[in-house]
Amino acid sequence: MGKYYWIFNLDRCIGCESCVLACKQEHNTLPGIQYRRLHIVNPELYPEFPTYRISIACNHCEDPACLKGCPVNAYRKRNGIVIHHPNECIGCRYCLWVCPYDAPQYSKQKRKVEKCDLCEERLIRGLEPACVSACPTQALELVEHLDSSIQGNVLTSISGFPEDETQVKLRLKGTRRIDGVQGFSKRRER
Amino acid sequence: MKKFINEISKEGDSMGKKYRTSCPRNCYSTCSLLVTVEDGRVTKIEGDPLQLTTRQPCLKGLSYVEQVYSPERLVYPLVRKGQRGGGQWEKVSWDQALEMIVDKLKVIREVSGPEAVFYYAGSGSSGALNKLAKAFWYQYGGYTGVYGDLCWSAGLEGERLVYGENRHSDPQDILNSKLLILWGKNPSYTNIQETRWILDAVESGTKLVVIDPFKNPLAEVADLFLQPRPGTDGLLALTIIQELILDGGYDREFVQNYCQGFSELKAEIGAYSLAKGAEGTGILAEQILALVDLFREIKPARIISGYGLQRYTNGGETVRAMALIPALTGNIGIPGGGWNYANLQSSFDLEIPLPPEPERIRLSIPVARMASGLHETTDPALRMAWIEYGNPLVSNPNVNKLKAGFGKLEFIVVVDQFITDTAAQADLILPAKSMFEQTDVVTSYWHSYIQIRDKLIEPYAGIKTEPWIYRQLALRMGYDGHWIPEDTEELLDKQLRTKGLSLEMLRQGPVYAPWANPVVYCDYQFETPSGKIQLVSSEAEAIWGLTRVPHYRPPVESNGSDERYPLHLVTIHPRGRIHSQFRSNRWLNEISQGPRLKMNIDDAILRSLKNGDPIIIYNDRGKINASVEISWGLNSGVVVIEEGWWLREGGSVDVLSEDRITDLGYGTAFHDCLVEVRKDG
Repeated sequence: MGKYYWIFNLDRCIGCESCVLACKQEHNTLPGIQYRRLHIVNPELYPEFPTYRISIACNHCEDPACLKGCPVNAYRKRNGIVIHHPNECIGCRYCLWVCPYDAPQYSKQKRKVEKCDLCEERLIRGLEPACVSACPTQALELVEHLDSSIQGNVLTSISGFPEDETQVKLRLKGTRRIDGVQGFSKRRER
Repeated sequence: MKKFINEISKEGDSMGKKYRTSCPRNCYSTCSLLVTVEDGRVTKIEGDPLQLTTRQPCLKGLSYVEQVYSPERLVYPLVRKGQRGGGQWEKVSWDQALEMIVDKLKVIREVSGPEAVFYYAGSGSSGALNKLAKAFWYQYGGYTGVYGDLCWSAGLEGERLVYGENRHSDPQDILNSKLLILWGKNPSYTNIQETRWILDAVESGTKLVVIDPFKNPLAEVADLFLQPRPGTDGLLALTIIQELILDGGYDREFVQNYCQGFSELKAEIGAYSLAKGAEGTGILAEQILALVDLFREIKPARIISGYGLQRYTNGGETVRAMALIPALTGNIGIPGGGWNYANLQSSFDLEIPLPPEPERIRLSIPVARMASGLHETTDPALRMAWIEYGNPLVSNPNVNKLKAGFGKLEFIVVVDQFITDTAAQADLILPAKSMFEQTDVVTSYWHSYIQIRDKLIEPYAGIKTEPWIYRQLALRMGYDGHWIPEDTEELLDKQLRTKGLSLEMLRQGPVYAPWANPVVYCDYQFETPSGKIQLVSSEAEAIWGLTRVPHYRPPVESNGSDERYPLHLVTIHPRGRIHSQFRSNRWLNEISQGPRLKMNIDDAILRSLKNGDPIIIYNDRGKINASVEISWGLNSGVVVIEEGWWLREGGSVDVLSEDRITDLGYGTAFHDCLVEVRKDG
């Protein structure tokens, strides 16, 4: 199977975190638990490197490390979605160690792991995941197949990203931020 | 009573039913929202597919689901026990609370006159019914109030002096621009729905220029990024104008046909030069020229101005100078071109009938100078304050002085949903409704839609609405209750119908104001004294005592004006809050990083500060706590912090600002503010 791919446009993400809140609202997660989170890469700390924002939930990898690392088979794949089954979960947190994208979240209250299920219920009802439909800039998309028109325009990785050992189903677009701003680099040289 | 008639999904389904409403916060976007209500509870918020300008709400809009039912929400009146500000409260009944207020009001009016009551309404929740407060205060015989504005009024007046009105084209017209100048505006924080149109334009090849003292998220995708020193935007504008006029590049024909005062402007603009502009703004001359070249070469061009650059003592003249550039380059009245500051096209006076205005209304205090005004007002001196829709002890300048001013009053009533820093100083707090608990009508200052803010749930835990409170007070005072009717929906509907609108119509979807224009000034009619665009203004001279030609004067307080405080503090609007609102929202607090001061690495090294160090920011007016965030995104000598923090989080940034007024429009010069920073502990 392996249908769904996230397409994330680095140029369009302004870091507003509407996706984070939409996810929270959809799944009504307990305090401190966010299936989707915003990462700011180089928040203006290193002048020679670009700053960009990336919103990440579970990437529903083709070869998921969480699934392989789970001692009780709490992770299974269904229609290309990596599903976590809380009934089987023993809260050992092995998946937290092995996931390169920090997707699984450990709930102290529940003593179990939780994570993004790609809004499976919404998908069945023909809706986009909550995060995608809430993005005010359309930086985040979910596609069912990576056809050649998309493939030519996307990256699998950028600097700072983990090496792709899990066949991640996230693709990145947009190079303006990475290339840097004319005015800013000029001022830097001064 | 009509209830839940704006049902959108008739079937409902197990997921509850959806209703339309809109967000009444003091924010550009004024999003229309679809709200799911299950068993009388708000459970979900989404964008309204019929509102094409805003579509998706922001994180704050999504978080209302938590906000309405926050455990910190006030549900009954509280009376102070013990010392003021001591945090001890006693729950009282509405009867007791109202009796207490009536007693005070009667005695104060009898002994000192109605002007001894200070009435203040902030911008916390918009709606036509807010005006009903006046139906009470007019019958009381008067009050002391404020004039001017905390936010945008310097720029409003600057814009009005040039164009005669405050309007701009539809947000979507950004897609028609070939050049966009985002000047002092950070829509990624304050107008998230606008970034969609900007990014769409950029993707289709529009050049984007960002002018901002700090590198905001859109600066990273810009073609050109200029960082002026705080408060020098007017100098930058005049330098650009000087280049366009004296070195060629302005639109002769447009200026001849539609502008007034060109020769006078030309005669005085020689006072500016590229070298002086570069020196004063701290921007490289070649970068200013790059921007001038873009103006020369690309049309249609649009300047999108923010509201921060006019919160200086020179702010009105800054906006007046900036507003001339689209006119001089012939970008007015055309699709894709223009000057975006404020769009009051959807604003209309929904006349709420009021009793005759009494003579003893004393509007003697500019809101910018409220801190001083409370101390200085005499004859009669102020004895009581009534504060609603606002949190002045976080959001108004010179908080410590303001707090001392409130401290001198004998009775303070605050109406709010939460125990804010202001409510904490009250003698009596009355719980306020949320946006889901009473129907009202809201307009925008960005798009041109009129929208309903509908009652979707019964007031939580028996909370009362503000009109209810005023009606009860009026009846107890023996006033004519009909001015504040029980059925406010009927009143709204009646008044809407005089404009050809109705609540029912608004429930079907946002209504584009019938009198609004998607592209403004395309008829080249200007409501100015000359009927043309005023490149020079005699009103600036007559009303405000300024020069006919806009000129640059440095801010009263800026880098170099006080060597003890070498850092210019710029307080930006927070991304996850609206001013001091949403403090008690647990969802937003989860992702909040607390008060963080952005500081250039050179300034940090000088003060031996590491990233994340706890710091104290201080000046003569007070001090607050924060942590430091080292950033290359701003110049040395400038520090940036989000505003709206409460005392328990480290303190309001406006502890540090002086209560100063702007040059035009009685605005508030928050950003004339120098500070020093030291490590805490």
